[in-house]
Amino acid sequence: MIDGEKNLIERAIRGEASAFGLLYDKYQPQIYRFIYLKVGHREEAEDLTHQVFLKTWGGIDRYVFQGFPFSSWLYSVARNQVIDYYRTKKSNIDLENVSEVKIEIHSYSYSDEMDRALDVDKVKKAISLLNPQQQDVIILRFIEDFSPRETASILNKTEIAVKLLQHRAVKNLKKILNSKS
Amino acid sequence: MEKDLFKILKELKQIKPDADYSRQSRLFIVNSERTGIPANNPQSSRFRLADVLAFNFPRLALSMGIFVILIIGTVYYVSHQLNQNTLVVKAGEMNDSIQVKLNEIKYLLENKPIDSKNISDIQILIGKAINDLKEASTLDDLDKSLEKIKSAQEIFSQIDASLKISN
Repeated sequence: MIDGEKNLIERAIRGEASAFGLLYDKYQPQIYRFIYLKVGHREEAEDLTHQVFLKTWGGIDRYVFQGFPFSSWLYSVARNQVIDYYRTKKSNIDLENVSEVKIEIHSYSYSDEMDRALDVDKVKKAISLLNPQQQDVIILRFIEDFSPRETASILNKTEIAVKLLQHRAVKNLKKILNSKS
Repeated sequence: MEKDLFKILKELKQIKPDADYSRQSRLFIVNSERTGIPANNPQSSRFRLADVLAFNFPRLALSMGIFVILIIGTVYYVSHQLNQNTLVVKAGEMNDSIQVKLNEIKYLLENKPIDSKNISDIQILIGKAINDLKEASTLDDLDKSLEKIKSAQEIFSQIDASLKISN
């Protein structure tokens, strides 16, 4: 954690809203991206991201630096927020959204030539079909470019566990993409 | 496709939140009162405070009532208004005004002598304001919700004025 950030966190803990605003500016896009790729819906991702920052602002005086980056805490709150979201929305997702995603991917399989945009869309949908831990590692390692060590600290796992998880996640992602193409 | 996978994953970093949404969300958060709600247990404080409100010591109950209103207001805006940008701006402005009044009322309640008759009147008014905010949170019609919030805002102004006169 850089000194400037530590200073911002200390000021935010003392109740300085503008300091928390700067932390928001820095981390909100990546937390939004993380949530969006997990829930696959822009407005839901916006609501959940807002909740994450509202909660971290409300509870920042309980934040204790333990050698992990501040983003670890944000990702942890974001993961819990997504878990809660799926817990409450489970029936809808089972009956509607997942089948919709599968139908869309299935329909792509009949296309011989897919442009880049469609490929991106296809990968996004494939990510949504991974299990939550595999989603985490794909997003953090390959989209956000975190090192295995940083990813391990964010996910509260060992580096070896992250590398194993990463291996399985990439394999599954390729399998999903190949099965649909 | 497979060999492009990692390139495509990098492209996903271009996903960004809507700028208007980000601005509204940031504004709301930095202007919101720090509620001290634990990050992983957002509901617990709310219900504890609601219990305290029913406590028999009027002044303490009044002070706690102020916090309950703050929290109810926060939960309401987050869960119902976030996607209605124009209304969020209006609600945000009302929220700011309510927050200012609540801070003044809280200060007066904690620092000035108030007779029991006044406390009783203020309790009734705060009860009305809480009801307005609760109703606002359940109404589907957002214009009607805003009317309820406005009504609560006016009640707080009335309480603030009466406390200042009595002191």
